[in-house]
Amino acid sequence: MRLGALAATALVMTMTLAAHATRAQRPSFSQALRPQPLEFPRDQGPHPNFRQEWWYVTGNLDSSTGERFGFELTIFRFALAPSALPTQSATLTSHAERSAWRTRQIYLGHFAITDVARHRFRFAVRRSRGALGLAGAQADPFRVWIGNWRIGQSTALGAPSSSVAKGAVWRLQADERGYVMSLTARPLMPPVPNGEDGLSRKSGQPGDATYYYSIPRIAVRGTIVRDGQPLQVHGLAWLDREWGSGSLGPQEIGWKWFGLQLDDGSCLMFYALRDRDGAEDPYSAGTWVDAHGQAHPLTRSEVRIEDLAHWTGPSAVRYPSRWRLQVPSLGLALTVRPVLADQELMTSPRYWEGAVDVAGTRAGRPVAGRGYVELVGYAGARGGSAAYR
Amino acid sequence: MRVPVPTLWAASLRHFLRQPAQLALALVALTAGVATIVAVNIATASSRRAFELSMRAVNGPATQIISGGPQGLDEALYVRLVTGAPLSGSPQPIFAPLVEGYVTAHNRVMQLVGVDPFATAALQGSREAMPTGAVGGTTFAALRRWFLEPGAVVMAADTARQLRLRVGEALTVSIGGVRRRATLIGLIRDRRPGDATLILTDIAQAQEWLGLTGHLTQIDVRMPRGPAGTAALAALRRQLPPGARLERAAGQVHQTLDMTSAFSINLTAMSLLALLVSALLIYGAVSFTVVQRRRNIAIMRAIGATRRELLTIVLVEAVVLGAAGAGLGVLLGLTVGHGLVHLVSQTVNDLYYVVSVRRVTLPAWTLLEALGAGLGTALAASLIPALEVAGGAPQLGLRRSALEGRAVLIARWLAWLGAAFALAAGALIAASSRSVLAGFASLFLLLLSVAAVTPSVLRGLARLCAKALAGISSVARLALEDIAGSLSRTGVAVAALGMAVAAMIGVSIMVESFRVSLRHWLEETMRADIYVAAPGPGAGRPERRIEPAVLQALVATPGVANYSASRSVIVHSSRGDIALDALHLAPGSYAGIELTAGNPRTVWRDYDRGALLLSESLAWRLRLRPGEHLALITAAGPREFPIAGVYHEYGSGVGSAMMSLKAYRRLWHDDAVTAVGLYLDPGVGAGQEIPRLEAASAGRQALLIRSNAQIRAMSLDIFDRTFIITRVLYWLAAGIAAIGLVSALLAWELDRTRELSVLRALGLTPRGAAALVEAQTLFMGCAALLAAIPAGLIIALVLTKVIDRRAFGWHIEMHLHALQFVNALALALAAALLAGLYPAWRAAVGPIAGKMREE
Repeated sequence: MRLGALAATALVMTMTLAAHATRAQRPSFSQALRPQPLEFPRDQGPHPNFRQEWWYVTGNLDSSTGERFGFELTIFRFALAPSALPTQSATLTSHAERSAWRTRQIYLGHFAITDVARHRFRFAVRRSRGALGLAGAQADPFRVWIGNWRIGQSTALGAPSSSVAKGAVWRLQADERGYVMSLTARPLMPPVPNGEDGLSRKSGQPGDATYYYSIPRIAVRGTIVRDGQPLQVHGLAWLDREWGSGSLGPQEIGWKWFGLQLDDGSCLMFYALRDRDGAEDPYSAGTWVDAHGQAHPLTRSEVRIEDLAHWTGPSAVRYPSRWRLQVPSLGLALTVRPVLADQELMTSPRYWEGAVDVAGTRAGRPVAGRGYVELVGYAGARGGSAAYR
Repeated sequence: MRVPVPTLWAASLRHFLRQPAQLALALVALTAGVATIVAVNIATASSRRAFELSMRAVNGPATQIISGGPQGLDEALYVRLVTGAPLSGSPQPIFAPLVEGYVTAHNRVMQLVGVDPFATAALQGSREAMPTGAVGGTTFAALRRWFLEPGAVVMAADTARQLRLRVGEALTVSIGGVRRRATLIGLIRDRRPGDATLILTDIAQAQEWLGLTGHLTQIDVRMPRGPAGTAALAALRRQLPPGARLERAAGQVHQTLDMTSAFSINLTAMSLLALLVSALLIYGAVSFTVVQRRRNIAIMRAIGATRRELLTIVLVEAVVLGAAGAGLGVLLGLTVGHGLVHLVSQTVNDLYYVVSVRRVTLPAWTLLEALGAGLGTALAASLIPALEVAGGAPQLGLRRSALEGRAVLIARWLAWLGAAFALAAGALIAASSRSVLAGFASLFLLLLSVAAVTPSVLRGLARLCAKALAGISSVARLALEDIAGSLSRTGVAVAALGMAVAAMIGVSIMVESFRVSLRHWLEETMRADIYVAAPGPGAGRPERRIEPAVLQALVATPGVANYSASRSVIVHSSRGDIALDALHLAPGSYAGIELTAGNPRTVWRDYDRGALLLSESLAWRLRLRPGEHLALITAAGPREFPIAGVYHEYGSGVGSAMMSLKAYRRLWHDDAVTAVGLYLDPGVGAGQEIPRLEAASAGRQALLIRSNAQIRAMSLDIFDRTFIITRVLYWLAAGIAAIGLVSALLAWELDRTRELSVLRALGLTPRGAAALVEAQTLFMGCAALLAAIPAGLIIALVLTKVIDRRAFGWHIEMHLHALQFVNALALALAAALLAGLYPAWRAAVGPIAGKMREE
């Protein structure tokens, strides 16, 4: 459940209009309709016949000097059309004349750093076509990149093939004004399918769904160069992988997403979809992964989320800013609190994605943790999503 | 006694009202002079400006540009720069790839620019991908159309309106003769200068259309400021492959402008010539209005007007006249300038760069220059005679004899001055070996010297003839003595005529010699029977290529015996950009290249081994000789090429180099062919072969297929077009000279009414009086010719041997043709005859007694 879905909502509206006219002849995108077993390394890589997908890494880091950081490194892929759509090059006389710049794949990268000690939140955006190796993704060896931002095996040669398994080593690297992040990442557990064996439905409409898995615990270690000064850092990251061709239901306007890593070894993912009337949507869902790595799907009725405070940013968008999250079936009661109030990405669409601290109890025993929260759909039409609409 | 000032002003006004023709002539001369200056300046400035804008529009906020050879850069370089950039928290350079070329859409030359919308947005610091604003709709919808719609293009809203295109409509763009279907998917609304001639499309589309897949025309770079930028620049230099060149974005504009500077010099010289001729004629026209009133002024002086008052009046008159003439001249110049702009830009386009002038630029200094020329010359022209009259003793002004005595002295002094000018001109040429400006300066000195000598020639000739005719006809003697004795009236007019005729003779000999040389050269060089070329603006544009399959079909067409092939490109060299013609010569073609330097026995052997041949222009411009070397930037980096020889070429003023096609292909990795020359089987005529060739390329590429006779005719047409401006200017000068002569003769005739009346009273018939006046003016025309013919020859010599050589490096043989002199003769005599008509008529019909009663 991620940002791309909102963009996709708008996209679908235009696409369906276009598609209606010539639905019969036109090839169409693949749809996430029924559960499909995840397969690796295939599902690490891109699924170009789906309209959109993303590789979403968030994490909390501590430096050897005791400073606290959060990061988000995300690469989105959007297909502008299904693959068989003829383009101009089909009319050219010879294949040799086809430009390597022709593509229907567009990549978007977001990189954000939360520097708690300095009260800084900075982000950068990259856009590129998926051609000529300027941006792209591949399953084996796993790699997704946009320019010199990378997620995946950096030195592909000699690396073990099914690198998604425990023991695989990836690199995460990105830069922006004042910060360079360069981390090695080791997944501590195998991928966890979300929803119904990996099929995550967003509405009652068939196709308004994604294939969705997470790797909730990834050990990361490396450096952050801040204003030219290198800092040794280590911490825990979370990977979300989703692909699909649908969007949200017509009533759904946004969501809160929680990805929490608790110190007892368990993890909680939950997205609360929000309807136009302010009510929580019945298709909200999540996954509980216990300390043994066992996944348990969570339905909307199992999870109660209460906004405890709000924050209004410089762009005058009001976001909830502290939450009480309860899962009575697990005996879980948590308070989730941003490490910095301002972790808003002034992108288009605008959203809030920030590092959080977690404290509470599980089955009566105190439990703490860290994680990331994403808030989408609060900016409204004014918030920049208009650009995508 | 004091004369009331209003009376003086009234007298001044009355004079002009009584002599409207005089006033009109002075105004016409002023207007024409100023208009010429304005028109030429506008034409030059507009094409320059259009050129600068077209460069700037593409570059945007780039600080540096990476460019390559004729095929541009390998696109892998861009990928390497973007994906291989080191991670850094400090500001990094931003790169944006460009693929550009020239296309024709709706008969307009447009610059097709292929961009990557994301990279361009990043370079421009925009948060939105470029097409979003132009195409409208959602980001995805816009991107979808931009990336996927076949032939999607975007252009400025104004341009679309001019082409009568609406969004969603299709247009055909022609690229090197291949027609492509484009769709206008959006409009750029925020107008930037230079947008008017742009067609924007995706980089993939541009590569495919322009035949540049795998290549980029350039990579625009925006370097961060400060130390980070300096470091990034140094790092970038290390990353560039050998064939790539990194330069400042502003530098590129400068360098490419250099290519057109030779042309610009030519125009500037023309405008200087116009200025000089105009100034002299303004001088002539205005000074007559004063000289003519010598009597009135002297009377006023005699009745008490102060010198100061008289001077003020004359100068105010000059200012009013000058301002009016300059104002009208600017208006006329603007109108004429519009026409000239087209001529100028066409001439520039015949060279390498494509300039599409859509807006006329009027530089402020042009107006100042024109006003200055108008006012300044009018003032100077009135001041000298006014000082002369106002400064004399009050009654002296009344006496012509004193005045003429002085005129003889001045003429004698001027003759010496003229001789000095001529000597100075010679010295200047000898002292400066390469300066074009010095060449022009000496040319002007020569013209001035003609003007200065003419009065003495006139006087001497008149006296000589008078002496010779003394025993034969007393009337003729009288008439001639009269001319010699009225030098103050006749001298300036004849000088102006002499100068105009000399300039005309000089320029026409130069143009004709050049034309003959060009024709010989074309006959020598154009050995093939039929020439086939990819059409399009700009001679060295890479997109002008014959499609390989079409080329195969052409050379395999029955009737074609052999062929030469050429690739014309612009390559970078250590000495700036150079036009390179890579040639595969058919055996019959070698003889067509006339060497002016180099060893004829070894030159072709060296050429086949990869040596360069330079055209005369290029060798002159770069000061290179056979045996020396020139470094060209090949695909593998700079490489020294030996120069095997220098050849005769009139193709362009900046020159070109020649290399074997085989060597070029090996070093630049470019297999394209711009043009082929086809040799036909014996007995096959071009007329019957051309339809076959057209059939062979039909439906694939619209090529220019021409017989060599057609090419020759076209080349001479281009030549004539280039010299239209010159012709316009010299006819203008001649016209103004004729007008000057008329006004001078009218003034003279007024003075002579008494003498004519006496002659009439003594028995001269009206017809005889008219004949006398005509004979006198004809004689003056002949005197002007006599001074002008030798001067014209010298001017022609300076133009061809000094100025053309220095400006373009060309060796042009002088070709003298009777016609050039006949033209000048006709002009001088016709001007004189026409100028004499009205005075002759007045002499014939005027009452005898009335004029005598004046005494």
